[in-house]
Amino acid sequence: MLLDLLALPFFQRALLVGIILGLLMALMGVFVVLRRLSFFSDAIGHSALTGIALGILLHMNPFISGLVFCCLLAVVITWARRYSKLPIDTILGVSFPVAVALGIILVQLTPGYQTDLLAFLFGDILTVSTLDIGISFGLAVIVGVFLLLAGKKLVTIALDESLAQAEGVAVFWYEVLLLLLLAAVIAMAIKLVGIVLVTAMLVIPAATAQNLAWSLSSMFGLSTLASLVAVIAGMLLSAALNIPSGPTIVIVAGLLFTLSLLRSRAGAH
Amino acid sequence: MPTASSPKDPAIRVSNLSVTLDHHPILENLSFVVPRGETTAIIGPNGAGKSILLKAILRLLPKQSGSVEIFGIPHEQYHKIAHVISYIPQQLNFERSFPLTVGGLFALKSRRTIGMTGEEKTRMYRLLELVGMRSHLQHKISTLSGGQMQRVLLGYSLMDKPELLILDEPSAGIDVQGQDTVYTLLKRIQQQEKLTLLLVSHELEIVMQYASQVLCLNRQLLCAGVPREVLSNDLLEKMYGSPVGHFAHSHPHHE
Repeated sequence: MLLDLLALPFFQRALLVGIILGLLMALMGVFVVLRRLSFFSDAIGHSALTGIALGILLHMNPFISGLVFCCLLAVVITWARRYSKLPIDTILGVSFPVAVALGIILVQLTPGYQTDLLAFLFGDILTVSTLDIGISFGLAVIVGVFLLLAGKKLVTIALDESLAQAEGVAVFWYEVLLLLLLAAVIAMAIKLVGIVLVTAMLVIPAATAQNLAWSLSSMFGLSTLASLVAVIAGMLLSAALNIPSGPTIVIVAGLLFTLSLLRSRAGAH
Repeated sequence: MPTASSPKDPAIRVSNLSVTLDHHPILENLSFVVPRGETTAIIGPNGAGKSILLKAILRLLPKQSGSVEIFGIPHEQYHKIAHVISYIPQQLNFERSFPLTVGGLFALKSRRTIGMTGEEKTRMYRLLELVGMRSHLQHKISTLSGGQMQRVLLGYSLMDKPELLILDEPSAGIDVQGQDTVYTLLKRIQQQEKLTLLLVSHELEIVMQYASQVLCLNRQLLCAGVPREVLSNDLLEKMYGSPVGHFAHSHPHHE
Protein backbone atom coordinates (compact mmCIF):
# COMPACT_ATOMS: atom_id res chain seq x y z
CA MET A 1 0.00 0.00 0.00
CA LEU A 2 2.88 2.33 0.83
CA LEU A 3 4.40 1.61 -2.56
CA ASP A 4 1.13 2.60 -4.25
CA LEU A 5 1.22 5.81 -2.27
CA LEU A 6 4.80 6.56 -3.28
CA ALA A 7 3.77 6.26 -6.93
CA LEU A 8 1.24 9.06 -6.60
CA PRO A 9 2.57 12.40 -7.91
CA PHE A 10 0.95 14.47 -5.15
CA PHE A 11 2.54 12.30 -2.49
CA GLN A 12 5.94 12.50 -4.19
CA ARG A 13 5.65 16.27 -4.30
CA ALA A 14 4.64 16.36 -0.65
CA LEU A 15 7.53 14.13 0.35
CA LEU A 16 10.02 16.22 -1.62
CA VAL A 17 8.84 19.49 -0.04
CA GLY A 18 8.76 17.76 3.35
CA ILE A 19 12.38 16.69 3.00
CA ILE A 20 13.55 20.12 1.83
CA LEU A 21 11.74 21.91 4.65
CA GLY A 22 12.73 19.29 7.19
CA LEU A 23 16.37 19.89 6.26
CA LEU A 24 15.96 23.67 6.42
CA MET A 25 14.23 23.60 9.78
CA ALA A 26 16.78 21.16 11.20
CA LEU A 27 19.67 23.51 10.35
CA MET A 28 17.93 26.75 11.35
CA GLY A 29 16.65 24.94 14.43
CA VAL A 30 20.20 24.56 15.73
CA PHE A 31 20.48 28.35 15.91
CA VAL A 32 16.95 28.66 17.31
CA VAL A 33 17.95 26.34 20.15
CA LEU A 34 21.44 27.76 20.71
CA ARG A 35 20.24 31.38 20.64
CA ARG A 36 17.06 30.57 22.53
CA LEU A 37 14.80 31.92 19.80
CA SER A 38 11.93 29.48 20.24
CA PHE A 39 9.59 32.14 21.63
CA PHE A 40 10.53 34.38 18.69
CA SER A 41 9.76 31.56 16.26
CA ASP A 42 6.45 30.95 17.98
CA ALA A 43 5.50 34.62 17.79
CA ILE A 44 6.47 34.86 14.11
CA GLY A 45 4.62 31.63 13.33
CA HIS A 46 1.43 32.74 14.99
CA SER A 47 1.47 36.21 13.52
CA ALA A 48 1.66 34.66 10.06
CA LEU A 49 -2.06 34.12 10.64
CA THR A 50 -2.54 37.88 10.30
CA GLY A 51 -0.59 38.02 7.06
CA ILE A 52 -2.52 35.06 5.68
CA ALA A 53 -5.90 36.52 6.67
CA LEU A 54 -4.89 39.83 5.13
CA GLY A 55 -3.97 38.04 1.90
CA ILE A 56 -7.31 36.24 1.72
CA LEU A 57 -9.19 39.47 2.48
CA LEU A 58 -7.31 41.37 -0.24
CA HIS A 59 -7.50 38.48 -2.76
CA MET A 60 -3.73 38.05 -2.76
CA ASN A 61 -1.82 34.78 -2.56
CA PRO A 62 -2.15 34.12 1.19
CA PHE A 63 1.21 32.37 1.38
CA ILE A 64 3.04 35.36 -0.09
CA SER A 65 1.22 37.83 2.17
CA GLY A 66 2.02 35.61 5.18
CA LEU A 67 5.69 35.49 4.19
CA VAL A 68 5.90 39.27 3.76
CA PHE A 69 4.13 39.87 7.08
CA CYS A 70 6.45 37.47 8.94
CA CYS A 71 9.55 39.15 7.49
CA LEU A 72 8.25 42.64 8.31
CA LEU A 73 7.53 41.61 11.88
CA ALA A 74 11.00 40.06 12.19
CA VAL A 75 12.58 43.36 11.14
CA VAL A 76 10.39 45.35 13.56
CA ILE A 77 11.27 43.02 16.45
CA THR A 78 15.02 43.16 15.72
CA TRP A 79 14.87 46.92 15.50
CA ALA A 80 12.87 47.21 18.75
CA ARG A 81 15.33 44.89 20.46
CA ARG A 82 18.23 47.06 19.47
CA TYR A 83 16.76 50.47 20.20
CA SER A 84 14.58 49.88 23.22
CA LYS A 85 15.67 48.83 26.68
CA LEU A 86 12.89 46.25 26.94
CA PRO A 87 13.88 42.59 27.15
CA ILE A 88 13.08 40.48 24.09
CA ASP A 89 10.48 38.54 26.10
CA THR A 90 8.46 41.70 26.69
CA ILE A 91 8.75 42.86 23.08
CA LEU A 92 7.50 39.48 21.88
CA GLY A 93 4.89 39.27 24.63
CA VAL A 94 3.40 42.52 23.33
CA SER A 95 3.77 42.09 19.56
CA PHE A 96 2.68 38.43 19.45
CA PRO A 97 -0.85 38.76 20.95
CA VAL A 98 -1.49 42.06 19.15
CA ALA A 99 -0.62 40.49 15.78
CA VAL A 100 -2.74 37.40 16.51
CA ALA A 101 -5.68 39.51 17.73
CA LEU A 102 -5.53 41.50 14.51
CA GLY A 103 -5.47 38.22 12.59
CA ILE A 104 -8.56 36.88 14.39
CA ILE A 105 -10.50 40.08 13.61
CA LEU A 106 -9.42 39.91 9.96
CA VAL A 107 -10.58 36.28 9.80
CA GLN A 108 -13.96 37.34 11.19
CA LEU A 109 -14.21 40.01 8.50
CA THR A 110 -13.63 37.45 5.76
CA PRO A 111 -16.81 35.40 5.44
CA GLY A 112 -16.56 31.85 4.14
CA TYR A 113 -12.79 31.41 4.36
CA GLN A 114 -12.55 29.67 7.69
CA THR A 115 -11.84 26.32 6.02
CA ASP A 116 -8.83 27.72 4.17
CA LEU A 117 -7.54 29.09 7.43
CA LEU A 118 -7.87 25.70 9.05
CA ALA A 119 -5.44 24.33 6.49
CA PHE A 120 -2.99 27.09 7.37
CA LEU A 121 -3.41 26.47 11.08
CA PHE A 122 -2.70 22.76 10.87
CA GLY A 123 -0.83 22.42 7.59
CA ASP A 124 -1.75 20.47 4.51
CA ILE A 125 1.36 19.16 2.90
CA LEU A 126 -0.60 16.92 0.54
CA THR A 127 -1.80 19.98 -1.40
CA VAL A 128 1.62 21.40 -2.29
CA SER A 129 2.06 22.69 -5.84
CA THR A 130 5.07 22.77 -8.15
CA LEU A 131 5.42 26.46 -7.27
CA ASP A 132 5.72 25.51 -3.58
CA ILE A 133 8.51 23.10 -4.47
CA GLY A 134 10.27 25.86 -6.40
CA ILE A 135 9.95 28.34 -3.54
CA SER A 136 11.16 25.84 -0.93
CA PHE A 137 14.08 24.85 -3.10
CA GLY A 138 15.06 28.50 -3.66
CA LEU A 139 14.79 29.20 0.04
CA ALA A 140 16.85 26.11 0.83
CA VAL A 141 19.65 27.34 -1.44
CA ILE A 142 19.63 30.83 0.11
CA VAL A 143 19.59 29.49 3.67
CA GLY A 144 22.26 26.91 2.84
CA VAL A 145 24.63 29.52 1.40
CA PHE A 146 23.96 31.89 4.31
CA LEU A 147 24.61 29.25 6.96
CA LEU A 148 27.75 28.10 5.20
CA LEU A 149 29.20 31.61 4.93
CA ALA A 150 27.93 33.00 8.24
CA GLY A 151 27.83 29.81 10.33
CA LYS A 152 30.99 30.47 12.34
CA LYS A 153 30.04 34.07 13.02
CA LEU A 154 26.57 32.99 14.12
CA VAL A 155 28.03 30.40 16.48
CA THR A 156 30.40 33.00 17.96
CA ILE A 157 27.44 35.35 18.49
CA ALA A 158 25.46 32.54 20.12
CA LEU A 159 28.44 31.72 22.34
CA ASP A 160 28.88 35.30 23.57
CA GLU A 161 27.64 38.47 21.93
CA SER A 162 30.28 40.83 23.30
CA LEU A 163 33.05 38.41 22.39
CA ALA A 164 31.74 38.36 18.81
CA GLN A 165 31.41 42.13 18.70
CA ALA A 166 34.95 42.60 20.01
CA GLU A 167 36.15 40.29 17.23
CA GLY A 168 34.64 42.74 14.76
CA VAL A 169 31.52 40.73 13.86
CA ALA A 170 28.65 42.98 12.73
CA VAL A 171 26.33 41.35 15.28
CA PHE A 172 23.26 43.43 14.42
CA TRP A 173 23.33 42.62 10.71
CA TYR A 174 23.93 38.92 11.23
CA GLU A 175 21.01 38.95 13.61
CA VAL A 176 18.73 40.74 11.12
CA LEU A 177 19.66 38.27 8.38
CA LEU A 178 19.23 35.25 10.62
CA LEU A 179 15.81 36.39 11.85
CA LEU A 180 14.65 37.35 8.33
CA LEU A 181 15.59 33.95 6.97
CA LEU A 182 14.06 32.31 10.01
CA ALA A 183 10.82 34.19 9.34
CA ALA A 184 10.90 33.03 5.71
CA VAL A 185 11.52 29.42 6.71
CA ILE A 186 8.67 29.62 9.23
CA ALA A 187 6.29 31.09 6.67
CA MET A 188 7.19 28.30 4.25
CA ALA A 189 6.99 25.59 6.90
CA ILE A 190 3.47 26.66 7.84
CA LYS A 191 2.42 24.89 4.67
CA LEU A 192 4.01 21.70 5.94
CA VAL A 193 2.98 21.44 9.57
CA GLY A 194 0.78 24.51 10.06
CA ILE A 195 1.16 27.58 12.23
CA VAL A 196 0.44 25.69 15.42
CA LEU A 197 3.18 23.15 14.95
CA VAL A 198 5.88 25.09 13.11
CA THR A 199 7.89 25.95 16.21
CA ALA A 200 7.80 22.32 17.22
CA MET A 201 9.57 21.33 14.00
CA LEU A 202 12.16 24.07 14.45
CA VAL A 203 12.88 23.25 18.06
CA ILE A 204 12.37 19.51 18.58
CA PRO A 205 14.92 18.02 16.13
CA ALA A 206 17.60 20.52 17.21
CA ALA A 207 16.83 19.90 20.88
CA THR A 208 16.98 16.15 20.24
CA ALA A 209 20.39 16.64 18.64
CA GLN A 210 21.60 18.80 21.51
CA ASN A 211 20.85 16.00 23.96
CA LEU A 212 23.19 13.70 22.06
CA ALA A 213 25.73 16.02 20.44
CA TRP A 214 29.41 15.78 21.34
CA SER A 215 30.39 18.70 19.08
CA LEU A 216 28.84 21.40 16.95
CA SER A 217 29.02 19.49 13.68
CA SER A 218 27.45 16.45 15.31
CA MET A 219 24.59 18.68 16.46
CA PHE A 220 23.91 19.79 12.88
CA GLY A 221 24.11 16.20 11.64
CA LEU A 222 21.88 14.72 14.33
CA SER A 223 19.34 17.53 13.99
CA THR A 224 19.08 16.85 10.25
CA LEU A 225 18.74 13.14 10.87
CA ALA A 226 16.02 13.57 13.51
CA SER A 227 14.11 15.99 11.29
CA LEU A 228 14.23 13.78 8.19
CA VAL A 229 13.19 10.68 10.15
CA ALA A 230 10.28 12.64 11.65
CA VAL A 231 9.14 14.04 8.28
CA ILE A 232 9.41 10.81 6.29
CA ALA A 233 8.10 8.44 8.99
CA GLY A 234 5.43 10.97 9.95
CA MET A 235 4.13 11.34 6.41
CA LEU A 236 4.08 7.61 5.71
CA LEU A 237 2.34 6.94 9.03
CA SER A 238 -0.20 9.67 8.47
CA ALA A 239 -1.06 8.24 5.05
CA ALA A 240 -1.17 4.65 6.28
CA LEU A 241 -3.35 5.45 9.29
CA ASN A 242 -5.31 8.23 7.58
CA ILE A 243 -4.49 10.80 10.25
CA PRO A 244 -3.37 14.44 9.69
CA SER A 245 0.24 14.71 8.48
CA GLY A 246 1.45 17.77 10.46
CA PRO A 247 0.60 16.46 13.91
CA THR A 248 1.93 12.99 13.01
CA ILE A 249 5.31 14.46 12.04
CA VAL A 250 5.48 16.32 15.33
CA ILE A 251 4.52 13.23 17.34
CA VAL A 252 7.33 11.24 15.70
CA ALA A 253 9.75 14.12 16.43
CA GLY A 254 8.55 14.17 20.03
CA LEU A 255 9.16 10.43 20.36
CA LEU A 256 12.71 10.85 19.03
CA PHE A 257 13.28 13.65 21.54
CA THR A 258 12.11 11.44 24.40
CA LEU A 259 14.47 8.69 23.29
CA SER A 260 17.39 11.15 23.09
CA LEU A 261 16.58 12.36 26.59
CA LEU A 262 16.68 8.81 27.94
CA ARG A 263 19.94 8.22 26.10
CA SER A 264 21.58 11.41 27.41
CA ARG A 265 20.41 10.61 30.97
CA ALA A 266 21.86 7.13 30.64
CA GLY A 267 25.10 8.64 29.35
CA ALA A 268 25.31 11.01 32.31
CA HIS A 269 25.59 8.15 34.82
CA MET B 1 48.88 45.48 10.77
CA PRO B 2 46.57 48.45 11.25
CA THR B 3 46.83 50.62 8.20
CA ALA B 4 46.76 54.30 9.15
CA SER B 5 48.74 54.04 12.38
CA SER B 6 52.38 54.84 12.95
CA PRO B 7 54.56 52.83 15.35
CA LYS B 8 54.73 55.89 17.58
CA ASP B 9 51.04 55.78 18.40
CA PRO B 10 50.35 54.19 21.75
CA ALA B 11 48.26 51.02 21.82
CA ILE B 12 45.38 52.93 23.37
CA ARG B 13 44.87 56.65 23.94
CA VAL B 14 41.82 57.59 26.00
CA SER B 15 40.97 61.30 26.23
CA ASN B 16 38.30 62.81 28.48
CA LEU B 17 36.19 59.67 28.35
CA SER B 18 32.88 59.77 30.20
CA VAL B 19 30.34 56.95 30.27
CA THR B 20 26.77 57.22 31.52
CA LEU B 21 24.45 54.28 31.94
CA ASP B 22 20.74 54.90 32.55
CA HIS B 23 21.54 58.55 33.35
CA HIS B 24 24.02 57.53 36.07
CA PRO B 25 27.58 58.69 35.53
CA ILE B 26 29.82 55.60 35.66
CA LEU B 27 33.12 56.92 34.36
CA GLU B 28 34.06 60.59 34.59
CA ASN B 29 36.54 62.33 32.35
CA LEU B 30 39.23 59.66 32.08
CA SER B 31 42.44 60.32 30.18
CA PHE B 32 45.31 57.88 29.94
CA VAL B 33 47.62 56.10 27.55
CA VAL B 34 48.37 52.39 27.27
CA PRO B 35 51.91 52.04 25.89
CA ARG B 36 52.72 49.37 23.33
CA GLY B 37 54.32 46.09 24.27
CA GLU B 38 53.74 46.49 28.00
CA THR B 39 51.30 45.30 30.63
CA THR B 40 48.85 47.82 32.00
CA ALA B 41 46.61 46.80 34.90
CA ILE B 42 43.40 48.51 35.96
CA ILE B 43 42.62 48.17 39.65
CA GLY B 44 39.79 49.47 41.76
CA PRO B 45 37.04 48.40 44.15
CA ASN B 46 33.88 46.59 43.07
CA GLY B 47 31.61 48.93 41.15
CA ALA B 48 34.51 51.19 40.17
CA GLY B 49 33.64 50.76 36.49
CA LYS B 50 36.62 48.59 35.48
CA SER B 51 34.71 46.24 33.19
CA ILE B 52 32.66 49.16 31.87
CA LEU B 53 35.89 50.93 30.92
CA LEU B 54 37.10 47.92 28.91
CA LYS B 55 33.72 47.66 27.20
CA ALA B 56 33.65 51.38 26.42
CA ILE B 57 37.13 51.15 24.88
CA LEU B 58 35.92 48.26 22.71
CA ARG B 59 32.71 50.14 21.86
CA LEU B 60 30.59 47.39 23.37
CA LEU B 61 28.96 50.22 25.34
CA PRO B 62 28.24 53.77 24.16
CA LYS B 63 30.22 56.65 25.63
CA GLN B 64 28.88 59.99 26.72
CA SER B 65 31.84 62.08 25.59
CA GLY B 66 35.56 61.95 24.95
CA SER B 67 37.59 59.94 22.49
CA VAL B 68 39.32 56.58 22.30
CA GLU B 69 42.06 55.75 19.80
CA ILE B 70 43.44 52.27 19.34
CA PHE B 71 46.77 52.16 17.48
CA GLY B 72 46.02 55.69 16.35
CA ILE B 73 42.61 54.85 14.89
CA PRO B 74 39.43 56.24 16.48
CA HIS B 75 37.43 53.33 17.88
CA GLU B 76 34.42 54.51 15.88
CA GLN B 77 36.19 52.70 13.02
CA TYR B 78 36.48 49.58 15.12
CA HIS B 79 36.13 47.24 12.13
CA LYS B 80 39.53 48.48 10.90
CA ILE B 81 41.35 47.42 14.04
CA ALA B 82 39.26 44.46 15.19
CA HIS B 83 41.72 41.98 13.69
CA VAL B 84 44.60 43.10 15.91
CA ILE B 85 42.54 43.08 19.12
CA SER B 86 41.49 40.15 21.28
CA TYR B 87 39.16 40.49 24.23
CA ILE B 88 38.46 37.95 26.94
CA PRO B 89 35.34 38.83 28.92
CA GLN B 90 34.99 37.98 32.60
CA GLN B 91 32.90 35.00 31.64
CA LEU B 92 31.19 33.73 28.54
CA ASN B 93 27.41 33.67 28.46
CA PHE B 94 26.85 30.20 27.09
CA GLU B 95 24.77 27.40 28.55
CA ARG B 96 26.10 24.10 29.78
CA SER B 97 24.36 22.37 26.90
CA PHE B 98 26.27 24.34 24.23
CA PRO B 99 27.86 21.52 22.22
CA LEU B 100 31.20 23.13 21.43
CA THR B 101 34.55 21.38 21.89
CA VAL B 102 37.84 23.15 22.55
CA GLY B 103 38.87 22.34 18.97
CA GLY B 104 35.51 23.61 17.69
CA LEU B 105 36.03 26.87 19.55
CA PHE B 106 39.40 27.42 17.90
CA ALA B 107 37.90 26.56 14.51
CA LEU B 108 35.57 29.57 14.89
CA LYS B 109 38.60 31.79 14.25
CA SER B 110 39.49 30.00 11.03
CA ARG B 111 39.40 31.65 7.63
CA ARG B 112 37.65 28.55 6.29
CA THR B 113 33.87 28.31 6.42
CA ILE B 114 34.12 24.71 7.65
CA GLY B 115 37.06 23.22 9.53
CA MET B 116 40.56 24.77 9.63
CA THR B 117 43.60 25.06 7.40
CA GLY B 118 46.66 22.95 8.20
CA GLU B 119 48.57 26.05 9.21
CA GLU B 120 45.80 27.10 11.59
CA LYS B 121 45.74 23.62 13.12
CA THR B 122 49.48 23.79 13.76
CA ARG B 123 49.04 27.13 15.52
CA MET B 124 46.13 25.77 17.56
CA TYR B 125 48.21 22.81 18.76
CA ARG B 126 51.11 25.11 19.62
CA LEU B 127 48.85 27.48 21.59
CA LEU B 128 47.07 24.65 23.40
CA GLU B 129 50.51 23.29 24.29
CA LEU B 130 51.53 26.73 25.56
CA VAL B 131 48.51 27.05 27.87
CA GLY B 132 48.78 23.40 28.93
CA MET B 133 45.45 22.28 27.45
CA ARG B 134 46.61 20.14 24.53
CA SER B 135 44.99 17.02 25.98
CA HIS B 136 41.60 18.76 26.16
CA LEU B 137 41.17 19.27 22.41
CA GLN B 138 38.08 17.07 22.19
CA HIS B 139 36.55 18.15 25.50
CA LYS B 140 33.34 20.16 25.54
CA ILE B 141 34.00 23.67 26.79
CA SER B 142 31.07 23.32 29.20
CA THR B 143 32.94 20.58 31.08
CA LEU B 144 36.04 22.73 31.75
CA SER B 145 36.75 24.25 35.15
CA GLY B 146 37.09 28.04 35.55
CA GLY B 147 40.86 27.90 35.35
CA GLN B 148 40.89 25.53 32.37
CA MET B 149 38.41 27.77 30.54
CA GLN B 150 40.66 30.80 31.16
CA ARG B 151 43.62 28.93 29.68
CA VAL B 152 41.60 27.81 26.66
CA LEU B 153 40.28 31.34 26.09
CA LEU B 154 43.81 32.68 26.37
CA GLY B 155 44.93 30.30 23.65
CA TYR B 156 41.84 31.09 21.57
CA SER B 157 42.44 34.82 21.86
CA LEU B 158 45.98 34.39 20.49
CA MET B 159 44.83 32.42 17.41
CA ASP B 160 44.74 35.39 15.04
CA LYS B 161 47.99 36.90 16.35
CA PRO B 162 46.59 39.97 18.08
CA GLU B 163 48.77 42.95 19.00
CA LEU B 164 46.52 44.02 21.85
CA LEU B 165 45.00 41.65 24.38
CA ILE B 166 42.30 42.95 26.71
CA LEU B 167 41.38 40.75 29.67
CA ASP B 168 38.64 41.28 32.21
CA GLU B 169 39.78 39.76 35.55
CA PRO B 170 41.78 36.84 34.17
CA SER B 171 41.91 35.31 37.65
CA ALA B 172 38.23 35.47 38.64
CA GLY B 173 37.13 32.13 40.05
CA ILE B 174 40.60 30.59 40.22
CA ASP B 175 42.40 29.57 43.40
CA VAL B 176 45.57 31.47 44.32
CA GLN B 177 47.87 28.69 43.13
CA GLY B 178 46.16 28.62 39.75
CA GLN B 179 46.15 32.41 39.57
CA ASP B 180 49.87 32.61 39.74
CA THR B 181 50.29 30.25 36.83
CA VAL B 182 47.80 32.17 34.66
CA TYR B 183 49.79 35.36 35.24
CA THR B 184 53.14 33.66 34.72
CA LEU B 185 51.68 32.33 31.50
CA LEU B 186 50.41 35.77 30.51
CA LYS B 187 53.81 37.30 31.19
CA ARG B 188 55.55 34.68 29.07
CA ILE B 189 53.07 35.03 26.22
CA GLN B 190 53.26 38.79 26.42
CA GLN B 191 57.03 38.69 25.93
CA GLN B 192 57.00 35.95 23.30
CA GLU B 193 54.32 37.49 21.13
CA LYS B 194 55.29 41.14 21.78
CA LEU B 195 51.79 41.86 22.98
CA THR B 196 50.26 44.87 24.59
CA LEU B 197 48.25 43.69 27.58
CA LEU B 198 45.44 45.62 29.22
CA LEU B 199 43.87 43.79 32.11
CA VAL B 200 41.50 44.34 34.99
CA SER B 201 42.53 42.89 38.31
CA HIS B 202 41.77 43.31 41.95
CA GLU B 203 44.80 41.37 43.11
CA LEU B 204 47.27 44.03 44.22
CA GLU B 205 50.17 41.66 44.71
CA ILE B 206 49.86 40.40 41.19
CA VAL B 207 49.65 43.92 39.78
CA MET B 208 52.82 44.86 41.68
CA GLN B 209 54.61 41.85 40.29
CA TYR B 210 53.47 41.78 36.66
CA ALA B 211 52.27 45.21 35.50
CA SER B 212 54.52 47.94 34.20
CA GLN B 213 51.75 50.49 34.51
CA VAL B 214 48.80 50.60 36.86
CA LEU B 215 45.62 52.66 36.52
CA CYS B 216 43.66 53.16 39.73
CA LEU B 217 39.99 53.58 38.99
CA ASN B 218 37.02 54.50 41.07
CA ARG B 219 34.76 56.18 38.55
CA GLN B 220 37.57 58.69 38.14
CA LEU B 221 41.22 58.00 37.49
CA LEU B 222 42.96 58.20 40.89
CA CYS B 223 46.44 57.28 39.76
CA ALA B 224 48.46 56.22 36.76
CA GLY B 225 52.06 55.07 36.67
CA VAL B 226 54.58 52.46 37.79
CA PRO B 227 52.90 50.34 40.51
CA ARG B 228 55.68 50.65 43.14
CA GLU B 229 55.75 54.42 42.72
CA VAL B 230 52.08 55.30 42.65
CA LEU B 231 50.44 52.72 44.91
CA SER B 232 50.83 54.45 48.27
CA ASN B 233 48.87 53.30 51.28
CA ASP B 234 47.12 56.66 51.35
CA LEU B 235 45.92 56.22 47.79
CA LEU B 236 44.75 52.66 48.37
CA GLU B 237 42.87 53.78 51.43
CA LYS B 238 41.24 56.56 49.43
CA MET B 239 40.32 54.13 46.68
CA TYR B 240 39.08 51.20 48.70
CA GLY B 241 37.75 53.27 51.58
CA SER B 242 39.66 51.27 54.22
CA PRO B 243 43.34 50.60 54.98
CA VAL B 244 44.76 47.99 52.62
CA GLY B 245 48.37 46.85 52.87
CA HIS B 246 50.39 46.40 49.71
CA PHE B 247 51.07 42.83 50.50
CA ALA B 248 47.98 41.95 52.46
CA HIS B 249 47.85 38.21 51.95
CA SER B 250 44.40 38.19 53.39
CA HIS B 251 43.12 40.38 50.57
CA PRO B 252 39.53 39.20 50.27
CA HIS B 253 38.35 37.37 47.20
CA HIS B 254 35.24 38.87 45.76
CA GLU B 255 32.33 36.92 44.25
